Amino acid sequence: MSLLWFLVMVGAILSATAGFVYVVYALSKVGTIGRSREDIVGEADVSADSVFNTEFREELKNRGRLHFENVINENAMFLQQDLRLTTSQLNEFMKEEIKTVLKDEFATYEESISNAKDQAIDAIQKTQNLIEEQRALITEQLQNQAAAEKAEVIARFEKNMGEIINHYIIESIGTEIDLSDQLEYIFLNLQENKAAILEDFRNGA
Amino acid sequence: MALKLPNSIGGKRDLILATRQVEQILNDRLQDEVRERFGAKKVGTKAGQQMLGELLETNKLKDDTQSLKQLLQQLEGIRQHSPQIRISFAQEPDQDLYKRIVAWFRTEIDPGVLVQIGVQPAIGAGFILKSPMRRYDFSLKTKILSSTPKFLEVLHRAK
Repeated sequence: MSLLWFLVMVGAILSATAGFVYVVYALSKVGTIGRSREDIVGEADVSADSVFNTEFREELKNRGRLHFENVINENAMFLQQDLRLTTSQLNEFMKEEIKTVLKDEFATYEESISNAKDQAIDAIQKTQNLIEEQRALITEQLQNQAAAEKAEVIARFEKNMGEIINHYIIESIGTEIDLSDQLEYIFLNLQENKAAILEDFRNGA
Repeated sequence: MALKLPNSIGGKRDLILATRQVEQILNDRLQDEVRERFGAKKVGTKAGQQMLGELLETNKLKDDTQSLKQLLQQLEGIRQHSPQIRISFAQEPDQDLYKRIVAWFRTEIDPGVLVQIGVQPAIGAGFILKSPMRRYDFSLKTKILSSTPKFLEVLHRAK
């Protein structure tokens, strides 16, 4: 569209220039045969002065100005339209560019986030593994310790079981077993050890 | 003739008590003899005479000053020279059991033996005898403690 307007404008300028050249050429042909160049030039100057007098030049100026203004106005309109179009295209372009850039940035951002997420998951996984290992180790240690303590308690219990049972029985029976009930046992043991006691007396006296 | 101790006077403590009793009674009687000689009123004795009575009865002695003097000397001799034995129970034996135990030792071991009774509640039951040379342990506590391997065996079987 702008190219078309440009061509029309160039055509108009070329047409005006061609007309102007033609007028100058036609005017230069009138009355030039058989006269010296200086005369012709002088005559042309006079003619030119008479033709291109002040009014005519003003008229041309006005016409040129009007034409120029028209051209300018038209071109301004074209330029405005073109500018609008360009602005619109530029907007579209900017939108697309921004979209692309944002898309790329978002993609980069997503990738970064994804990497960070992977790293975080990896770190968490490692931590979990470590915790699991520690837990297993502590569990094993606790089990070993508990087993050792249990064995120690059992060993201590077995070692002191006689004392424990004795304590328990004596605490339980208290003074329930009357001495008179033990008479038979007492005299039986004394009688069985009579010889030894006599021997002690003989040796110890 | 050696003095026979009644079974109620079993140990050294009883012997000392009996000696003091006899001594007190002898002193009181000597005082009364002096008072009688000077026409003063007799005081008598306030000391218990149970042990003295048993001693006189067991040895068939007369209850006079001379006999008491001899008795006192013999008691002192026994205190210094008689063999001793100590027997411990989980609880204090009553008087009857005490006399029976003393009687057994004086019949079977030595007529002049002094039997000291001890109390060790920790033994539970049975007795511990300490002769001049040895210690005999027939207590329930020792029986239980010596049975620990059997307990363990039973315990492991029950697992």
